[in-house]
Amino acid sequence: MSILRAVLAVPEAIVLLALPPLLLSVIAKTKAKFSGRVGPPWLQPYFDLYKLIQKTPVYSRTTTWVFRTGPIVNLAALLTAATLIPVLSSDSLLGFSGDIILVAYLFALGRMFTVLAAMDTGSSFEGMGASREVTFGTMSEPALFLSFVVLAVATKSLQLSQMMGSGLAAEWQVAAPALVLVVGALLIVLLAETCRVPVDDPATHLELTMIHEVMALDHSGPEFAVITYAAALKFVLLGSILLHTAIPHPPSLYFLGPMLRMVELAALACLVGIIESMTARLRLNRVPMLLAGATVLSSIAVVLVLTGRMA
Amino acid sequence: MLGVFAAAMMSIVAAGPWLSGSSPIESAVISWPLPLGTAHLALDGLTAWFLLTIGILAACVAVYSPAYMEGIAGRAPAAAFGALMCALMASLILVVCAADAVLFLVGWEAMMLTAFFLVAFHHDLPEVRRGAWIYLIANHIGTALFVLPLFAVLTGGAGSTEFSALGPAAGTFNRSTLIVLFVLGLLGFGTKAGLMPMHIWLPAAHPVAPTPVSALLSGLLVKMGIYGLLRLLTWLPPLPTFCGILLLIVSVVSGVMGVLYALAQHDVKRLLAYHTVENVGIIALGISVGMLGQSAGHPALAALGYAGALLHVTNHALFKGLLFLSAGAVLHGTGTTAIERLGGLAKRTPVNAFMFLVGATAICGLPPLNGFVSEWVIYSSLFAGVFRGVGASGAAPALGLVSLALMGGLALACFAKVFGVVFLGQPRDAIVSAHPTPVRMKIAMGGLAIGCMLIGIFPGQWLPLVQSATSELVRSMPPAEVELAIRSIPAPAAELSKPIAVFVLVVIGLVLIRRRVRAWATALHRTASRVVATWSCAYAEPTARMQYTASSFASSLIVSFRALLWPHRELVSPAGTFPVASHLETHAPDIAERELFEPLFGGLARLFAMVRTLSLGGESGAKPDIAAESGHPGPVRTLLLGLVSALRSGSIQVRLAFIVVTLVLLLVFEAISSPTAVNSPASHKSVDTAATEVKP
Amino acid sequence: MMSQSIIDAALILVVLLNLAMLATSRLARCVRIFAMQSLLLAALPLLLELQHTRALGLHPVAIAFGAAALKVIVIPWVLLRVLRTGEIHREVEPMIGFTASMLLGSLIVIACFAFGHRLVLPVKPQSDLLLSVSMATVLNGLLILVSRVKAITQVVGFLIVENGVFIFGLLLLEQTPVLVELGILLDLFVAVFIMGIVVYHIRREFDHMDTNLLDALKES
Repeated sequence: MSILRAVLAVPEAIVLLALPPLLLSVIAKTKAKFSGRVGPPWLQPYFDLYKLIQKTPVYSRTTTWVFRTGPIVNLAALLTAATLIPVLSSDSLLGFSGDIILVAYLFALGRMFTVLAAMDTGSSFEGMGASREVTFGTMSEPALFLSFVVLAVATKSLQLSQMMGSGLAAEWQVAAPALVLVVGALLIVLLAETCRVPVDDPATHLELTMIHEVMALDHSGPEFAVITYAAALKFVLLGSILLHTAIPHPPSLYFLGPMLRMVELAALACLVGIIESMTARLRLNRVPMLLAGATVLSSIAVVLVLTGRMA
Repeated sequence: MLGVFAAAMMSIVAAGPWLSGSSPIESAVISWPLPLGTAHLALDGLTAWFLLTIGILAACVAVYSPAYMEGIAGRAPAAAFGALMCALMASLILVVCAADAVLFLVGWEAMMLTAFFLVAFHHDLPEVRRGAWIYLIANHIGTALFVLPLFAVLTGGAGSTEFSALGPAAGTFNRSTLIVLFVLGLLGFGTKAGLMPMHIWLPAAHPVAPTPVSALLSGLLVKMGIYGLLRLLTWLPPLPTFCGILLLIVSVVSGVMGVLYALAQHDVKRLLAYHTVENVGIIALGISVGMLGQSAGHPALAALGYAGALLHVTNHALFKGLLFLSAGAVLHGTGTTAIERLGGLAKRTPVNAFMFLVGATAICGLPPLNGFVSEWVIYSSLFAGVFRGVGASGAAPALGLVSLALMGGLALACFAKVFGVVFLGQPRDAIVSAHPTPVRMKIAMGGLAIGCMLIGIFPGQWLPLVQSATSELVRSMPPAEVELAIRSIPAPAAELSKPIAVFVLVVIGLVLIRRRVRAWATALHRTASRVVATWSCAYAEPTARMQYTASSFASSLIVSFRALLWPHRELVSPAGTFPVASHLETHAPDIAERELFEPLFGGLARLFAMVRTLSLGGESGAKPDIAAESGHPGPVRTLLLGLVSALRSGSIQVRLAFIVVTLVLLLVFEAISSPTAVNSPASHKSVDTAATEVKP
Repeated sequence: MMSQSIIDAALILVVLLNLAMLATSRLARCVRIFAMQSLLLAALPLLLELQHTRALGLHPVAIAFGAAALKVIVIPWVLLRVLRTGEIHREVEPMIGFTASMLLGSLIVIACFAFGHRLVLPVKPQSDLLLSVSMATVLNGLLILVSRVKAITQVVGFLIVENGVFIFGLLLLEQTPVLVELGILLDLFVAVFIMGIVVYHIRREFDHMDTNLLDALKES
């Protein structure tokens, strides 16, 4: 890494860490617009986080150190993934060949510890949420990996920052249908992993209908702040993967690149807000069909790419 | 036990020179009078790797066993246990070091018999006897029907029983002989390794054996099957591609079905046994990529595949051993391994809980532990296979990739279930007490856990050790490329350490920050954190029975995959206005056992009963007690009966379905039998009427 | 090339609509998906002709309009009319389930894509995907026909089979005379008309469209 790049990495990291709650408020404002309301202030999530950090946490008698460490491991895994995924610029901080697998398994590590922290409370609601999270996480793994296969075969590389860089722009000319299918599959995976409608409703607090919110029922104060921030960060990271696949930037944009990416992230948050306002939450036994649909989309893309290379 | 420990240490030391890169073969001949062969021992890279595995796991088990057997005191004499363990250790080392076919088979048989006596250690219990019998019969059939003929053909062709002569001799065989040899090896060594559908002895033998023996079964004995398969591959020249694809399909089936069955189990040790089946599937996946690389002539691909498989051999021994020892500590402390009766053990046995957590995180392949490193190498090999278009132009490695991803997700679900239900929450059955774990058991588990963590955090130091073993396997390819391929294996692993280090630092940093924030908030409000009952949306009186059970946790996944699992469900619904009694039971019986082996052995038993009746002059003896599961027909039977009844019903849709299936089969046959390219106008295979209309 | 991409995109959209039909349980939605698919297929001869000769001859335009008029407007109107007068709006869960039939349909698509490249043809097609997509459509239509219970869905399955044959016919576009194409379309129209009338009367007589219950009418 050159000196300029290293110097630029510091403000970039600061912006990246400050960005996630802003996207949450973009989604909230979009949904409010659709319901004819004004919505909460733009900086409301930051105020919420600050309020939560100050609170005195209340722990359950049943819990052990796993309960307190779960959210921290989850956030640490996401922060480590942030060093590997290109978010604002087109290259990542620590990328190397084969890092897509590390990224996918870091998400899985976060999921494991979130689920264990939920099971630690010994409550039936958290157990329910943990079971659903694990089920839908398992079903979205094949779709995610098949999308990676398409990107890897298209760009002949296993490094995430190279897979989603300028090499992909050339691929869009040639294998556009396959890449459109991949974008569709990644959008469904994004909605499932960040627990948005139609998979899960982040606004309702009915225990029988939630996945992510119900796992955090017993967390309070600083732990809950960590969980909220980590969920927003996951949205940023998965959204970046989607955006870099859908809109590869040419390398000629220097300082415009990060600005454009931030605008794109805001647009994606807007889109998710529109989807949330216009669709209803699926019945829980129809969610596997949605995830199977994502797997089907990405597997057709894989077949197209593999047979396209043959013929 | 001291003997076992000493042998383990010596084997690690002996393996040392090969691990650091030199690769000459040292051999020694002992003057034992062996019929048909000579007692020729040899050490090469592959042997050294397996010796390392044996050494590490056996050392930890040796430290663990005395404390464990004291806890289960009064059941059987401990001296016999120690003697049998020494014999097992000796036979394992003999199998790995043998350089002569007869010596290998002697060691193989000795290993099977000593393991049988160890599995049947608590032989006063009927289920222990049954499990031990299934183990013995399955392994003996595998050996007698497949391994013996394999060696017979090989040594017959070579004219000598020395391993060094088998390689050149196999080069002279023709293609069909090679395929037959490979299939024999797959079936014979696969029975030992636990590939589906020969895996049924694993879930039968593991729960009934004493825990140190289960750990050795899973960690070492099944690896001997893998060792046999790898040895066979060092002798055979590069096989046709479809052999690699066959192994890939077998490993995918073993992996996915293994972890699905594990998800449905109610007993910790049986669950761990099915996970061994899954991990053997992952190892075989790596081997299949290696074979595909050899068939296609890509040394780099072959090296990656074999390296991944070998790494997973050792990693699996480590974390599976850790998990079994931890489950044994649970059994030792509470007296039961039934998942639904346990709970809240993390409060009463915290060290054991931490060890199990390390093992569970490792087996799911999560960073920063060792499971991730070997799975990462296998993923890299699969991606490389897709890039180069080997194995049905990349379709087979793509299938391997998606199933490996699915296996990872399902394993995560399974271990979240086990750890969450057994160690977290509240105790589900109040009468189960928990004794603390003895120190020696903790030390043994700690050793394995430290190994897992070290390999995970410093993969760059670990990967070069496997180079000499890999070079043994890819010997049949041009040496210069092979050299380059093997040197390039550890390179990306050094890169892997950086994000892992970042992760560890971030965790430590966040913990420290949280402490500071908590201190600041406490000073702000002048109240410390409070401890109350679980809130869970304001339940006034939460009880332990309200917790999510393990079956409920896994039920949504099992129901989603019911087409593969065929679970049984028995429900006695609550009836009436104030229902008193209701009852729900779910099981997932093993398809291979129900549909393949039970009818087979039932038929054989009936045949033998007939023979016995005849030879005893017409007296009908007692009916053979076939363990018949009445009631629910399995999937094969249901499908066959449904097919027959559908044919007889005369429904138009069924007739149409048959026409469609016939057409599809014809098209597939046509496609497969025309191997060359597309759209050659000179071909006459399609519609003749259209051809007459074509104006050239 | 742009037109090549558009043709490929249209064909893949046809495949995705097949899979959507396998996944849906609402009968009216099935008919509308068929109408959308037929609209795409009606546009295909025009696109193929544009790519091939850069000018529109009479033959492809006639095919396109004929197919569009019949399959996008007339036939869906007939079927929707039958549905509107009845009370049944949803399909019964088929024997293998909706998710499993969608996965089976996608396996068929993957297999057709994999094998379609290996089958030989007398004429080089304009798009590599034409043969695979036509086979996949035919097989998916047969899957719907075989696995569904309500009569209307079986009729739609039959129509999808015809769509698949239409795609295959596009391979030999220059060779097939207009008369043959129009004859096929006329046969189709008459068949669906008769089926629609029959289903309407069945529903009026027996108050249901369930073919499993109709099996009771057999003597044997």
